[in-house]
Amino acid sequence: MFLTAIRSIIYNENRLYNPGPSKFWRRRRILRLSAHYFGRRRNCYRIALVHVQRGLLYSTIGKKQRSSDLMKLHAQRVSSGAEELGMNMAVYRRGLESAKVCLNNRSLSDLAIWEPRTFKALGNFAWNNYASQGFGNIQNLGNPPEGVVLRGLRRMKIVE
Amino acid sequence: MAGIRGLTHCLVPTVNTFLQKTCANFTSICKLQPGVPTFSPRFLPTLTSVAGLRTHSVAKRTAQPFPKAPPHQQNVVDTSQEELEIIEDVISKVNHQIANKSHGRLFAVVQLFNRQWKITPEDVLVVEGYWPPNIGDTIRLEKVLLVGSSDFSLVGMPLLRPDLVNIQATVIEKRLSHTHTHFKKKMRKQYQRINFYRHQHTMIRINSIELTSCINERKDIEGLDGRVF
Repeated sequence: MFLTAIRSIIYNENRLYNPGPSKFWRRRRILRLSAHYFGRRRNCYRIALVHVQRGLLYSTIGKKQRSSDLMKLHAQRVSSGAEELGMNMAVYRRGLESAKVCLNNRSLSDLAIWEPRTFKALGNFAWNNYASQGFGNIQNLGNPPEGVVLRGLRRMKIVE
Repeated sequence: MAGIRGLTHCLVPTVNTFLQKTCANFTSICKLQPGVPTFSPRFLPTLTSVAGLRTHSVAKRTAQPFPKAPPHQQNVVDTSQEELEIIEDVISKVNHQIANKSHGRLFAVVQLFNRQWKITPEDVLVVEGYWPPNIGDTIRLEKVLLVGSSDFSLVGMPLLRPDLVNIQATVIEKRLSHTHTHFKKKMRKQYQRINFYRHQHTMIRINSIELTSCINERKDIEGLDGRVF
């Protein structure tokens, strides 16, 4: 009878109150995360707790901001690359988009950095396509780039 | 995280919002007045080109006005034959390189897992999230937006023909990422939650990028290669 009573107290899964790990291990859990901090933030539990929680909050917020930050970065890189070619991003992106070239800002920024000749060729084509479609004010576009022949794009030799 | 990214795709403005030209009318009005300078700040040469840091600058082009239309009727020279010769010359050169495989290492931009990657042979891509292919599977990347070499680039509108490019890849590893912590806390509200999660990562190796046929050729039947009936 006695042993059964003890067993029911210890192993009752329906108990509402669960004390969890001991005080020492609860503190180790926080102090492990503050191990690389400096000063009392590193060793004193009450101070470490505040800063660890704040750090975790910042990391959660930062993960949300990451994708939009990257999108802004890619847009900035494409814009800078287009300005180097003497046009702006609107001309570049719309000239490509009207030709159904679906490269996004991420891949275009990669091309601007690592494949500048491809980026320049795309930009020259985009300028001509933009001008020929009649987008925007043509007076603001500057002189046309040389060495672009648009006509061949739609001409296909039929092999019979 | 994957869910959050999916949401941001909905929230973030699309490409079209970048393309809106807000001050087009304003600049055209300014141009009509005689005393107003005719450049806009957007077309000013960049600092690096002014300081001589860049070897070649095409920003000079922006300072010149667009050639005005002639006031009277003018005979236009027909250059279509010359352009046709230029086109055929360029195409034959590219085809010559493709036939001899004298182009160097190729790079490509492919669409995979709803995002675009610039790849070259021997690259390893990490695909994040649930993706069915298993280790050892050999796959062919079919959505090819662009293929380039040192001398030429082939751009798809929007995709290149499947019989033009052959990109082979192998799934080499499937594992979980490091543990991410999602921690929420509201001050003075007795609210605190902490969750841990790991993403599925699939590593694929790009084995080869090959150009398998010449450009500017139209076959009798297209789009049947690689299909099983």
